[in-house]
Amino acid sequence: MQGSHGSAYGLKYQARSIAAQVADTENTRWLVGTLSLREDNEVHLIQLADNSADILCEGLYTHQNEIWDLAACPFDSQFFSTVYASGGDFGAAIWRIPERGQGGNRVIPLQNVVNLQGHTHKIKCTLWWPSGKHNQLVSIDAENLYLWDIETSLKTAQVHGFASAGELSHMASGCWDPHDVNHVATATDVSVQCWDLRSMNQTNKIEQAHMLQVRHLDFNPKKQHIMITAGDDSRIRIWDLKMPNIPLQELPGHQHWAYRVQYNPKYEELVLSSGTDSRVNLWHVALALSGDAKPRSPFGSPKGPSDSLLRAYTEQEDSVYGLAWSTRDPWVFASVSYDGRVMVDSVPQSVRKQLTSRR
Amino acid sequence: MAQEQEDDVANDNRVRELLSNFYGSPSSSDSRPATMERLRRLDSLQQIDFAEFDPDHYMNSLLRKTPMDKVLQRYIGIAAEIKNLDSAMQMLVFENYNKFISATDTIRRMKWNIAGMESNIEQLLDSITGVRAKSDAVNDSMCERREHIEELNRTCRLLRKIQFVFDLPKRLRKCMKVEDYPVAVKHYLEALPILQDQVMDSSVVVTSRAQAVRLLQQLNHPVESLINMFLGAHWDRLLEDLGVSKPTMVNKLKSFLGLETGIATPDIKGETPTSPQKALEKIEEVHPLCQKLLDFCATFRYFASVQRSLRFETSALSATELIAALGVLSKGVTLLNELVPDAGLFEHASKAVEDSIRQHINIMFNGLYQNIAAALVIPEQLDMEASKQSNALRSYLEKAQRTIIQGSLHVLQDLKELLDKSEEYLAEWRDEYVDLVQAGFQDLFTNLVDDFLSLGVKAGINSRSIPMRKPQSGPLATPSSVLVLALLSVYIYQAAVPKITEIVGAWFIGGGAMSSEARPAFVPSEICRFFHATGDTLLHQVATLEAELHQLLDPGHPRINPGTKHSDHAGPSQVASKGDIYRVSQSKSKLWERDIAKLFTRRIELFTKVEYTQASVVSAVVKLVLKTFQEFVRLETLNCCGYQQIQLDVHYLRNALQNLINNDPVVDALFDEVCAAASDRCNVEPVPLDIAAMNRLVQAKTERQRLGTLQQISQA
Repeated sequence: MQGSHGSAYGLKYQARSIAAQVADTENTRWLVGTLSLREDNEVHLIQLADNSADILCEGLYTHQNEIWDLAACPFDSQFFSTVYASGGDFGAAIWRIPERGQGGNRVIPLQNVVNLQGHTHKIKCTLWWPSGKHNQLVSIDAENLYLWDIETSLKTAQVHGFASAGELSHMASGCWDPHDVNHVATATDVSVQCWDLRSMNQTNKIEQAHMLQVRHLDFNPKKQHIMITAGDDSRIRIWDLKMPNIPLQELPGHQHWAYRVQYNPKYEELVLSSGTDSRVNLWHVALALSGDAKPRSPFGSPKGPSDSLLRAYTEQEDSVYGLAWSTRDPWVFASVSYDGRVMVDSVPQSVRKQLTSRR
Repeated sequence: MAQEQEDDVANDNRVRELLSNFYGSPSSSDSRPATMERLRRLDSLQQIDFAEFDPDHYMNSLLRKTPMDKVLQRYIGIAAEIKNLDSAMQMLVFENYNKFISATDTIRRMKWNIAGMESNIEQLLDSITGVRAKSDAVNDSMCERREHIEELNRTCRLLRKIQFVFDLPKRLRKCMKVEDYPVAVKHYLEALPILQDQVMDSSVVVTSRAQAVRLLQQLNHPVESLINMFLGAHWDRLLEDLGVSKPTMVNKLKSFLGLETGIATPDIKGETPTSPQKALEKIEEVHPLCQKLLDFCATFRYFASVQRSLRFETSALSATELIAALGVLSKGVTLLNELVPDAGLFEHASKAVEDSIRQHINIMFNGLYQNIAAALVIPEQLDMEASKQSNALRSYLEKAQRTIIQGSLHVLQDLKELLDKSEEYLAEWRDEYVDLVQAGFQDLFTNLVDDFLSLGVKAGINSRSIPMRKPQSGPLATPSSVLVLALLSVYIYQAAVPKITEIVGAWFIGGGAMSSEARPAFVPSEICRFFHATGDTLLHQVATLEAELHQLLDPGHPRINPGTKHSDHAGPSQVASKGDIYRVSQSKSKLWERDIAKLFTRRIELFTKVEYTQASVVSAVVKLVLKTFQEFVRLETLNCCGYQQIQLDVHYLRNALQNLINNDPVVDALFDEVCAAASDRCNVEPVPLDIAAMNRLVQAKTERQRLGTLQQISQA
């Protein structure tokens, strides 16, 4: 796919959310949820064909309410969770993908496993336990964070813990620390908060991560304490949680809101971001700056925007709200734009060579 | 050294063995211990030729026992012997060598010979293949003869059977004379199955079958069962034949009629032309049989079959072929009628003819209608290309016109031919026929009107209603196809109908058989009126579609040519109204329609490089703010009031920002996007405010503002 355009897949409605089907290690698959206020919504299970660049629809399931966020279960490809809203109603639920019926590609309704009830504000996202089989799940609404004990077989969900970010705060998203499973970070207004799930207390905070609302954040998959954030000020910043005052590095980001940012699961140098300027940017992040290394700038200020943009993918034509690396092939990723177009692109060949030769 | 000596000994022993083998002397293996003992006791001088010869012992005994001269003699003798042996050995070696040479020669020759052999064998193979092919050919040619012979054989057997049957009466009579009844019964029983076979077998010549029938009759075989059997077999065969292709069917029909008459009047086929009297005699002869047969035939079964065969034919036959088929039928009926005048055959026949002609007319009109309908379906596929090249549409329209007029003329010609050529069959109900033709046209045109209308109405549904997910049954009507339909209907009532009326008037005079209680079958004025109305409706449809198309695509123009738009600086109200029209159509149509409109518009580069000028910075800020506005709207869920509020805000901002942004098409597009986002996020079907109301509200607001500032100034 190097040099050529990526493959596209059209949804019938608008869409915001996409998630790689983490538990399926044999196929390059994603789940995409649509966002249509007045029609019945759909969840598409799409797959990148092995030998060609075609995207195939492997499953089409109906989901009544519009899907604002979607997360795949890390240990069982049958399960995933959605955050939905319709009118004044909102909620989050875990679903089971039904067995493929006799009708082949017929649209099948999803099986509801359990609803996460008790939220008082519009839910933003759900986070599965970062790796391996575990029955805990975090859900985040605008002000609160809930830790749930889920029993998928019994179809029950019980609140295990609860933390509040405070009145009138506005959490946009969160991320579970893959290195320390007791920590969850949330993007709360302009700051990043870290929570200890045992005590349900705030442990750490980046006071002003961005000038405007922090939209998304992701932990470095290889190194502890390193995280990346994206915000409405269009910037992307890399932080060391041990030094919450100054970012390690800043990327120029986007021309409008930076909406999503994600580390490559295998190569920590690769970072993917998407924004409302309808672009998907692939960044190279220098390794030397991570860890305990001090910022190179002599005055202790963050390093200025460096030319680390590897490639800007401009095929999308509307704001790109959804972004997901493939869990199977580290060079492939998918993005979904508001007008319901899923694009599957890949990392340029030259970058691949560079990265693999360094190993 | 020891090794050498051993080798020498071994060598000597080998040579000796070879020599002894050569000279046939007893070898060491024969010598037994006993003989050895014996030899030792013998004169040792005698031992020289044996294996156990001991040279030292021999020398000792020789020197001891023999005098000098004898020893000398012995020496000479031995020397001579040695020389002899040497030469003999040499000879042997030489001979061996010779043998080797000849063997090598032989082998070489063999090799050479074999090389030649391969080609020979190939030649052999070729010739054998040739022989086989020849033999096959011979076999084939013989085969034909063989088959012929076999056939002759069969015929011979058959003839013998027939001979037997023919001889049967004589033989029976003879038997009766001699009063040998058992033999007579035996003959009779033998003959019966043969005769039955004859009747059943359709390949047998009619005459022989007639004879067989007669013989059976003479034998008082029950005639009814025979007829039933025969007709049953023929019925099955006929049904089978009807499945076969048309020309063969016509033949079969002829032959069937021939057979039918043939069995009734066995000799008519062969002899009628020369001797009618004789034929009549024969008919008289088999009259009872005929009577039975006709009783059977007169049941509608026969006519049903005729009618069915005709129906099969008419599905694609033209009038001439139909007439030919009718001719065959009428001949058959006449023949039958001569035989049995009182069977009422003509009523049945004319009914059959009438039905088949009715059917023919129906089929002709159906075909025409389907042709026209097919011609009307095409534009949906060619629409995309057609819209690009106007020629395609025009040629398509001409094609459809041609289909209509030529198809109608063809049908008329066909039916006219039928009318002219089959006067005799149609004589009684000519008027009715004319009515049928006219009614056919009436139906055709009313159907077309319905079709046109339904297509047009479908287009109407498409353009203005919601069901985007509902499966649309028919093909999608596009503006161009609706336009084509409209033009076609105009053509029909202006050109096609008058022409058809004229021809119908000229060719199909009369009619009105059922006009006493009903109106005339074909009413051209009514058709014209229908098509006139349809054309108007469709044209109206086209007009609305066009208007909507303009609404939908209008926002594209300024984006495509920002430069030209820029020159004639549009007033604020004008721009606003344009945007509102976009919004109106937006709310009416759906996401996909907007997507299509998007395809036509150039991709907007929202964020271009900011230059160091005031205008550029302001416009960049406005763009950022508007984009953020859009994003925040997308995050919300609005009710109808919320949507209208945003619509109003946008309307107000549009005017207010007009001066700041210098009529930037990108900003304009962004305003539209905000409205579109609000419309998307509206949880009910959004009802947009109309422009007049918004203008009023904005005016009131600006008025208030102005008053406010005036007050402030006056206070100051």
